[in-house]
Amino acid sequence: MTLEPHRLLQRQIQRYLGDSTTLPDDWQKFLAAVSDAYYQADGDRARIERTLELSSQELLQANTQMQSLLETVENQVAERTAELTLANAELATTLQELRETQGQLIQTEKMSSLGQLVAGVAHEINNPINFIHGNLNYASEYAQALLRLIQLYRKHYPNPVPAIQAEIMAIDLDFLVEDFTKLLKSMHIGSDRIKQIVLSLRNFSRIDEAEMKIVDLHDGIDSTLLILQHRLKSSSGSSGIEVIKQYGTLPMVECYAGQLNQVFMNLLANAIDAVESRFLSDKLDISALSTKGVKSQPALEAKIQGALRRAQPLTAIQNQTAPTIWICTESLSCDRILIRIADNGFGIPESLKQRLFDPFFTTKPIGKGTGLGLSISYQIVTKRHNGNLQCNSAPGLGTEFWVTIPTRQASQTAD
Amino acid sequence: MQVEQSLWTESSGWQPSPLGNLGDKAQLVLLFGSPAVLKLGSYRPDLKQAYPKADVLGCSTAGEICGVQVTDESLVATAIHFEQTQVRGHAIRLEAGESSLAAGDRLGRLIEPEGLAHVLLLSDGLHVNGSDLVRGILPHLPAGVTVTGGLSGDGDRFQETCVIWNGAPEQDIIAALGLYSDRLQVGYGSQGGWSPFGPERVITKSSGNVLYELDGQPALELYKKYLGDHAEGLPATGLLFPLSLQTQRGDRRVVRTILSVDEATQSLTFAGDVPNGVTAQLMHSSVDRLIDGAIDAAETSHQGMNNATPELAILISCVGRKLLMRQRIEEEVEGVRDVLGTETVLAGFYSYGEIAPFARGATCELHNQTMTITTFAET
Repeated sequence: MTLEPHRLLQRQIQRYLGDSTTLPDDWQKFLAAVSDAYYQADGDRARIERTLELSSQELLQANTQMQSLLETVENQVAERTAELTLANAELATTLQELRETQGQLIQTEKMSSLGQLVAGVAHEINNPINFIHGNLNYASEYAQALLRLIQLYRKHYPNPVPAIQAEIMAIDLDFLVEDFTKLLKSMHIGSDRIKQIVLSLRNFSRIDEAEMKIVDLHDGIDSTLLILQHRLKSSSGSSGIEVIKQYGTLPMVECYAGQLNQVFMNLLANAIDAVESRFLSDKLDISALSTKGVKSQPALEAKIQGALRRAQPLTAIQNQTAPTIWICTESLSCDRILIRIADNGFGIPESLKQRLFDPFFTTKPIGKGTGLGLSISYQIVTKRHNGNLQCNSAPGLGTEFWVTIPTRQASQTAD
Repeated sequence: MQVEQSLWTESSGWQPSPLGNLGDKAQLVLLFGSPAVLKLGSYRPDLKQAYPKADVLGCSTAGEICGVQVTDESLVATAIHFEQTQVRGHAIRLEAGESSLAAGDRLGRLIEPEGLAHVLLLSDGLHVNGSDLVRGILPHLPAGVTVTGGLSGDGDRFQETCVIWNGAPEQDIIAALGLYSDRLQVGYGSQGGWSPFGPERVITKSSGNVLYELDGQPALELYKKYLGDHAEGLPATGLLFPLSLQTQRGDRRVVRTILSVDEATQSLTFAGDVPNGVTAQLMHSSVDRLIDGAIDAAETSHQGMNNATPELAILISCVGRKLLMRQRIEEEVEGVRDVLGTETVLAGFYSYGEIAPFARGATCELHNQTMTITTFAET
C-alpha cells in the first residue's frame, strides 16, 4: 500500500522544492524513503507512548491489587489474631475450670477418704467405748457395794486375825478405798470424753450426707475445733492458741454439712498456721500468756450494732500478744448468716490477695500445703451454697475470712 | 582462509559477475536468499559452474547480509576456501510426527566427532522447536565443541521456509555442517538489546512452544492490546514485543519471539519453549539499543578468538530487529563491522531464531531477537 507522503515532508517539499510531481523518479523514490522514515519515527514514538501508558496502567492496577491484597491479608491476620486471642482466652478459662475441677476432685477425694477413715474409726471405737461406759456404772456400783462390805467387816471385826491385819497394812486399805472411788470417777470422765470425741468425729465426717440437710453450724464448727484440738492446746515449750468464740443465735441452715465442715477446717487450719508462723517461730515470750484453750463467750450483742462489730475482730485481736483465733457467728437477716474466722497472724500481703482463691496457689513450703484449701472453700461457699467468701487482711495485724451463706438453698444438686 | 562474496538481485544479476575467483578451491558456499528467489533455482547452475567442488549450505531468510549491506529479495553467496579445515555436512528431513528433540538426536548421530572444531546448524524455521533441536544434538558433540546457527526465515510472512544442502531448497530440512580442524579459531556471541518492561506475568497455560495464557488471561489478547493498530500485522508485528522468560534455574533470562498466532485458541506459537509456571515479561527496544546489542555480540565473539583477526563472520540476526529498525537495519551490521574490522567478511541473514551459547563456556541455546555472531579464523 502506497501511503501519502508524510505531512511534514509534504510541507518541506512545498517550501523548498515546490511541485514534487515534476521531480525525477530517483528523487521520488528517495522522498518516499524519507517519508517512510518519518512515518516509522511517528510509529515508533506512538508505540513507545502506548507501551508506556499501557504498562503504567497495568503496573498501577497491579499495585492497587497488591494493596488490596495486602489489606485483605492484614484484615485476615487481624481476624485470625482476634480468633486466636479469643480461643486463647477460652483455653485459659477452660484450663482454669479444669484446675478448679481437678482441685475439687483431689480435695473431695481426700476429704472423702478422710471422712471414711474418721467414720470408720468412730464406728470402731463407738462399740467398745459404749461397752466400757455402760459397764463403768455397774463397776462403780459393785465397787461401792464391796467397799461397804469391807467397812461392815471392819466395824464388826475390829481385831481380825494377824494375817488379815498384815494384808490390810500391805495394800494400804484406807488409801485404796479413798482412791478407788476417785479412780472410777476419773474413768467415767474419760469414757465420757471419748464418747464426745467419737460423736464429734461422726459429726465432722458426715460421710453419709450427700444430700442437703438442715443442721446447726455451731456443731460443725465445734466438731472441727475438737479435731484441731491437738494443734490448739499448749505443748512443751509453747503456749496454746486461744480461741475466742462469739456465737450469735443462728437459725438452722440448709447445707451440705460435710462440705461446710471442710470449709471451717480449711479456714481454721490456715488461721492456726498463720498464728503459729507469727508467734511460735518468733519465739516470743509467751509463758505468761493464757493457756485457756477454747473459751466460750456470751452471745453477740443486738443486731443493730452488727456493722460496728464487723470491724471488731481484727481490732479486737490485733493487740493480743498471744496467738488468738476469733470465731464469730451472726444472723444477718432471716435468710442469711455470717461466720467470721479471724487470726492475729502476719496477715496477707496485698500482692497475694488477688491469687488467694486460685487453685494450687500456696505460700507454704513444698509438702506443707496443696494450695487447694481456699480454692475448694471458695467453690463450696460460692458455687455449692450460693454464698460468699471474702478475705479481709491487714498485713502485720492479721486476717479475717467472712463466710456468708443463705439459710435455705434454691434447688441444688449434690453434683 | 579465502572468502569471496557475490550478491544476486533480479535487477542486476550477480555482482560481481562472473562469480568470484576461488573456483575449485572453494570447499563451501554459504547461500542465503529470499524464498521466492531461491525457488527460481537459476542460481544452481551458476554456483555449480563457479564452485564445482563446493558444498552448498544455505537457507531462506527474512533479509540477507552481504558485507554491511542488508538486502531483500536477493541471494548472497559466500564462497570459502579453508586452508586448514575440512567440512563435512549432513541434512535430515523432519519426519511427520517426529519431535524436534528426536530429529536433533538423529542429526547429532551423523556428525563425525573426530577432529570436530565447530558445527554450523541451519534449520527449517517454522516446524522445528529450536530449543529441543539443540538439546538433541548437543550430547553427540565432543567436549568444547558447540553449535551456532539459526532458523531459516520467510520475510515477515511466516509461511514457508527452506534449507539447502547441496540440492534444491526444501522445507522441513535441518542441515549441520561440521568444521574439522585443529587450526580453526571460532568465536561466538549473542546479544539482544531488548529490555523487559511492565509487570511480570506467570505463564499459566502453555504446551511446548505454544502459549495460551499469561496470568490466567489469553496471551493473544495481551499482545493485541499492546500492539493497538499494529495488531493487524500479527504475527510479524508481535516481534516488536518479544517475551523475556526467566529460566527455570532462575539465573538468567531467555528471549522468545512469535512465529504464529491462532485466533481460534487465542494462542501464540513461539520459536522456543514457553514452559508453564515460568515468569514472563514483555520486552521492547529502540534502534540505538539494538545497535548496542549487536556491538556487544561482536565484542563477545571477537574476545573468543584468542587475539586472532576474524576472517569470516556469520551474522544471524532476528527478523524482529529488522522489523523495528527497518531503514536503519544496516546500522547494526555497521556496528559489528566497526568492532571486527574491515578485514572480516560479513555474511549472514535475518532469521526466525538464533542458535548459540550467549557467550563462551555457556550452554548452547535457542535465542530470539538477538544478533548472533560466529567468527572464524585459521591460524
